[in-house]
Amino acid sequence: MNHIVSVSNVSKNYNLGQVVVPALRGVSLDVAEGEFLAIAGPSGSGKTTLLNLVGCVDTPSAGTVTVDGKQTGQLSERDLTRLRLHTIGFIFQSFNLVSVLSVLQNVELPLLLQRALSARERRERVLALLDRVGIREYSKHRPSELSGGQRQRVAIARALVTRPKLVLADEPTANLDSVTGTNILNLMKELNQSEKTTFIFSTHDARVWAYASAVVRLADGQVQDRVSAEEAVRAGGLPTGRPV
Amino acid sequence: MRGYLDTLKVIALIALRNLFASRLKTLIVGGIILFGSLLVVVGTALVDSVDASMSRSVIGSVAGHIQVYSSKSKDELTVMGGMNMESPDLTPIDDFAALRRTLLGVPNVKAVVPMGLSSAIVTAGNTVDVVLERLRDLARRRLAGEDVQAAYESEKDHVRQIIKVLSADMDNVRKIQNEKAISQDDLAAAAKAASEELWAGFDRDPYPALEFLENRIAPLASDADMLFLRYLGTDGDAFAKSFDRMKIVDGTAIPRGQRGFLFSKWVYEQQVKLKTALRLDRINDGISKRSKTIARSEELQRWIKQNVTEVKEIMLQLDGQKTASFRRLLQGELGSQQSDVAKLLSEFFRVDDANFAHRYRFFYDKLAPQLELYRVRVGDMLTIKSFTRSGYVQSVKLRVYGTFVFEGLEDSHIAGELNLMDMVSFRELYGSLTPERAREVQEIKTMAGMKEVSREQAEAELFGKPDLGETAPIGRAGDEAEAVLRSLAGRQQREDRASQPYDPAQLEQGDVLNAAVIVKDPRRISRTIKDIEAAGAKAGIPLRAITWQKASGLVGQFVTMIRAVLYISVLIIFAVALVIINNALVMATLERMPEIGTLRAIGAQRRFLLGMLLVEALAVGVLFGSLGALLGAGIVGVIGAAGIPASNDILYFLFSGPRLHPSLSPANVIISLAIVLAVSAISSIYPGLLAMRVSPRQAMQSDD
Amino acid sequence: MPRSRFLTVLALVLSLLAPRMAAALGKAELVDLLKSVDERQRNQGDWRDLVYIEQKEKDKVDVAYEALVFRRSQDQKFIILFTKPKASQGQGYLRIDKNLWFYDPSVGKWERRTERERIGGTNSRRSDFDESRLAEEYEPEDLGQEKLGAYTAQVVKLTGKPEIDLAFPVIKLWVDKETKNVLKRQEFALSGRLLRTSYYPRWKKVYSESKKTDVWYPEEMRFYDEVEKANSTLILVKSVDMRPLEPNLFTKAWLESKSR
Ligand SMILES: Nc1ncnc2c1ncn2[C@@H]1O[C@H](COP(=O)(O)OP(=O)(O)OP(=O)(O)O)[C@@H](O)[C@H]1O
Ligand SMILES: [Mg+2]
Repeated sequence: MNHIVSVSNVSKNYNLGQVVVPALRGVSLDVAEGEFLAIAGPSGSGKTTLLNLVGCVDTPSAGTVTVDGKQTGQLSERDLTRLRLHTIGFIFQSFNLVSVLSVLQNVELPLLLQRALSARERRERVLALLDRVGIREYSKHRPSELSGGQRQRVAIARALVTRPKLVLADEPTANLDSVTGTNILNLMKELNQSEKTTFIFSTHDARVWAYASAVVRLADGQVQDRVSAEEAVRAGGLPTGRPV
Repeated sequence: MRGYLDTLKVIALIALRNLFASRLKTLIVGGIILFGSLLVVVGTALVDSVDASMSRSVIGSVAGHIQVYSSKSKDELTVMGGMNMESPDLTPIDDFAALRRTLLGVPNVKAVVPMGLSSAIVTAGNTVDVVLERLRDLARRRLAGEDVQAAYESEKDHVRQIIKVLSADMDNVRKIQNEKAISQDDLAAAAKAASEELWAGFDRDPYPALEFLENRIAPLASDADMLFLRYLGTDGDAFAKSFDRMKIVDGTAIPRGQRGFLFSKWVYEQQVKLKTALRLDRINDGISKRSKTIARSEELQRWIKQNVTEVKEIMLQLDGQKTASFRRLLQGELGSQQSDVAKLLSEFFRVDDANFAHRYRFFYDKLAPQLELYRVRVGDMLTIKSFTRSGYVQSVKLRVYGTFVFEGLEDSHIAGELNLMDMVSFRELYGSLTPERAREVQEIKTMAGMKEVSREQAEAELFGKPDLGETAPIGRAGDEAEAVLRSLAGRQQREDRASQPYDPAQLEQGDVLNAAVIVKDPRRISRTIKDIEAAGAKAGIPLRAITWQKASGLVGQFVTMIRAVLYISVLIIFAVALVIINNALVMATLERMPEIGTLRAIGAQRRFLLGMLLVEALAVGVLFGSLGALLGAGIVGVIGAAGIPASNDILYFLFSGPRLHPSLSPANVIISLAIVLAVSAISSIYPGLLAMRVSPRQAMQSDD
Repeated sequence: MPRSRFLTVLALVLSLLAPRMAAALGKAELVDLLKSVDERQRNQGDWRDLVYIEQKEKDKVDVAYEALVFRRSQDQKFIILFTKPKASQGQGYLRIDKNLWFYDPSVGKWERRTERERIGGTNSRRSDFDESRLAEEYEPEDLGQEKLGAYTAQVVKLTGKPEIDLAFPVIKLWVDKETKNVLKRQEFALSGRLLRTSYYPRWKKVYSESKKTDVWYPEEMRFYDEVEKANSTLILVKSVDMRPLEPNLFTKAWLESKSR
C-alpha cells in the first residue's frame, strides 16, 4: 500500500518559557493515498498540531514526517514551500484569508504562486470552485464582508483550487450550517473519489465521520486508536479509554 | 513570463492595498520622500545653474578653460578670488612661443593667451601734489618753448585758488579748535604762498617757488590716496579674442604693439572716481536698485554726511573761474545768498528723499563737467611702481587707454578686480632674475667686502674685543659721485619709452607666468589637461595644467561647497527618510505577520514576500518621489521665469549677472528619482529579512 | 646704649650709600648723553659718502645696492642716490623739510614717501644714513647699565616726541660708556612690538674742517629683522668726503638734471 503520509513516532513540544508543553507524544500514523481520514479528539488533544506537522507548516521535535515520499525534515525551506504549494491544500481552523484581497483573488492566489495556468484558465477554475462551495456571487467581496461560514468556504476553495494530492482540513465544517456542511463534504468526497485526493481532517462533528474512511482518535497528544467510521460514530467520537 | 507578470500583479495588489489600509503612515513616509525629492530637484537645478553661470563668468573673464603654469612653481595658481594682496609665487616659463607651440599641438586646444598676475600700490600723492606736478610739467614745457601758455596760466590760477582754500581751512580750524591748532610755521608758509612776491618771479624761475609749494604747502592737504591695483599682463589682442565677454567701456583697447593700461571699470569707479561722486552713485543705487530710503537707511545717511563734511576734495579742484561758476550755479539751485562755495556745496549735498533725484541729476549735468571726476583720466600716464622678483624697485609709465568690463559681470568686484596691462610692461615690472642681474649683485657684494654674521653670533662676534675707533682715511666720495653722475647723464632718457611701440614679436619671445587655454570641446577638459602635461613633459617644459574651477581659487570652490552642503542635507533627509520608512515597514510587517504566515503556508516563497515589501516601498517612493520631482520642476520653472535677484556682489558673480534663471535638466529629475528608489529599496531590506525569518506557523498563530 | 648707637651708625652708613644705589641718571644727564652721542657724529657742514647695502631675505636672492649719500647738517637736507645695480641707477630719495621724496628717472616721477619708507625695499630707513638727531627727536629714559661683550653700555629707552615723523617711535639704545658710541639699538613699534635689532660694531673718525674736530661714523651697520626673522640687512659706509657741495644740490631740479 502506498502511503502518502507517514508519521512515525513524532513528538512535538511547545516551549512556554520554562514550561515544556508536550502537544504530541510519540504519534505514528500512516495515511494511504485516497484515504478520507478523520482525526477526532477533545480540544487540546493535538489535532491542529498534528495537521501542522503533516502540512509542513511546522516541524516535529522528534520523529519523522514523510509526505508524498519526501521526509520533511530533510527538505530545504524552499522545497518545503514548494511541497506546500503543489502537493498540499490546507484549510486552516481560523481560515487565514488575506484580508486585503477579494474572495476571487484569495482563491486564485495559490494558482498564481504556481504559475501554471493562464489567466482565463485560472478564472474559470476559481469561479467553478466558488460555484461549488456556493459563494460565487461573493467573488468580489472582501473576507471581512463575509460571515464565518462563508469565509470557511473561501478557505476550502483556496485549499482545493490547486487540486492537491493531499488536503488537510482543520475543522472544516465547524462554522457551517448542516446543508452547506453536507455540500462541502460531498464535494470533498467527490474529489476524493474522482481525483483520488487524500483528505485528512480534524473534526468534532460526528456527521463528518460518516464520510470518513477511518477515524483516528487522539487524546492527550497520543493516538488512542484507529477505528472505522461506524465505530467512531457509535463511540461518540471519543476514545474508549485513557492511555496508561 | 505571463505567470511572472501575474504574480507581480498580485504582489502589487497586496502591496497597494496594504498601503491604502495604513494611509496615515503612508502619507507621512510619502511626505518625507516628497520633500526630499523636491529638494534634490530644486537644489541640483539651482546648483547646476549657478555652476553653469559661474563657469561662464570664470571661463569668459580671465581663466579660460584651463590654466597652465610651470610645475616648478612654489605656489598654486589662482587667477581670481584672491582677496589677499599677495599674488601666487610662480616660476616663469621662459619662452612663450615654445609654450604656445607645444600647447597648440594638443588636439583639443583652440587658443593660448599669455598671462602674468601681479599687484602694485600706486601712490598718487594728494590733490595738491597732483596739481603741482602738473604745473611743474607745464612750467618746464613752457620754458622749453612749447606752446602751453593757456594751460599753464589756468593751472597757476588753480594753485593760487588752492592756497586760498587751504588758508581758509586753517583759519576755520583755528576758530573751531584753538589758536594753537595750526603751527606758526604753517601759517607763515601759507602766507608766503599767497604773497605776491612768490608769484612775481614765478614765470621767470618757477622752480624755487615750486619746491617751496611742494615741500611746505602740499603736506597741508592731507588727502593722499593710495590705489591698490591688481593687474594682469597679457597680449591684449589674444585676450580680447579669447575672452569675448570683455568689452571696452571708455577709450579704446591697447593698440597692438603699444604699452598701455586698461582699468577695469569697477576699479575705475570704486577707486579712481571722485569720492563725492562715488558716494552719490551709491546713494542712487541704494534708492533705485535696492529700494532704500534716506530717511530709514543709516548707510545712506552716513554717505550723505561724508559728502557734506568732505567738500574740500572738490574745493581743491576749483580755480577762480570755476569757483565763480559753482557759486552762481549753487546759489541758483539752492535759492541761497551764501557766497562761500564750500558752505554752498555742503548745503547742496545735504540731500533728502524728496530732492535727491533732482540734485543727483544737477550734479552730473551742471557741476561734474567742470570737475575731474576721475583722478586718472583716459589718456593720462599712469606710473606703476613695484618690487621686482629680484627685489628691486621698478617703475613703468603707461598710457591709460580706457576701461573695460566683463559683460554681465559689471557690478562684480571678483571679476572687476583685475586691470589689464601689456605683457612687455608686465615683464619689466615683474623683473625676473636674470643671470646678468645675479652677477651684478655678486659684484657689488665683492666690491664692498661684505661678510655675513649670523643673528645668533652677532653680539659675540661683533663685540668680542673693544674697538677704540680708528681714523678713517679721507675719502673722495665726491669724485666717485661725479663719475657716476656723469655716466648717468650720458644715459638715454627712458621716460619716453612709454610712448614707444614695441615689436609685437617681443610678446612671443619673452617669459610668461601662466597661460589661459581655450579648448574646442569643453567636455573633454580633464583629458586635455593630461595631454597638456604630457606634451609639456615631452617638450621639456614642465607644466601644471588646472581646470578653471581650480584656477578661480575660492570662487571656484564655492560651487563645490554649496554642492557639498546640498548633498549633505539631502543625505540627512534621506537618512531620516530611510529610518522612518524602515520603521514603518517593520511595523507594517509585524502587524501583518498572520497574513505573511498564511502566504508562506499556502506556498509563497520567501522572495515573494521580499518582493511584496519592496514593491510596497518602491510604490511609495515612486509615487511621492515623482510628485516631489514634479512639484520641484514646477518650482524651478517659476523661479526660472522670475529669476533670483543677485542681492550682493558675490551672488552677482556666481549668477553671472543681476539675476539667475535656473532651468531644469533631465538629470536633476533622474538623480532625484534614482535616490528615492535606492532609498526605498534599501529601507525594505530589514523588514524583508524580518518577514523571512518567521516560520509560517508562528506567523499564523499571532492571529488570536 | 650700644644697641641704639649701632642703629644710628647703620642709618648714617645707609644714608651715605643711598645716592650711589639710586645711581639712575637724571633726565638732564640723559639728554646730555644723547646730545653727546649726536655731537660726536655731527659734521656741521656738507657730507658725502658711499654706501653699500645688502638685504638678505628668506627664499630669495640677495639684493645689493651701491649708493651715494649727500647731506647737509645746517638745514637737515639729505639725498641718497643709487648708482648700482644698473636697473636702479638714478633712483633716489630726497629729503627737504619734512618731505621725503622718491624719484625714479625711468618714469621721471616724484613720489611722496614717509620716514617709514624702506629704502630701496631693504630694512633700512632714511635716518640710518643721516646724522644722528636723537636728542632732538626723542625723550630718554634710563634703563641702567649692561655688559655688551667687551663693552659696558648705558641703556636708554627713547620715546619719540609727538608730531615728528619718525621711522621708529620707540628705541632701546645701548651706548658705550667709554666712547659714547652707539653699539646696539632695538627699534619698536608703538604697540611695543620689536621690529628690528641693530648693531654698530665699527666706528671710524675723520677730521672735519667745518667742525674743527673729529666726526665719528659707523662704518658697519647690521640690522636683523625681528618680524621676518630670516631677513637681515648690512650697510657699509666708505669714502667719506666732507668738501662743500653745490649750494642748489638738494633740489628736485638737481636730482632730475643729474639722472637724465
Ligand atoms: N503555540 C503553542 N504554544 C504552546 N502550547 C500550544 C501551542 N499550540 C498548541 N499548544 C498546546 O498543545 C496542545 C495541543 O493543541 P492543539 O491546538 O493541537 O489542540 P486541538 O486538538 O487542535 O484543539 P482544538 O480542538 O481546541 O482545536 C494543547 O494543550 C495546546 O495548549
Ligand atoms: Mg485545533
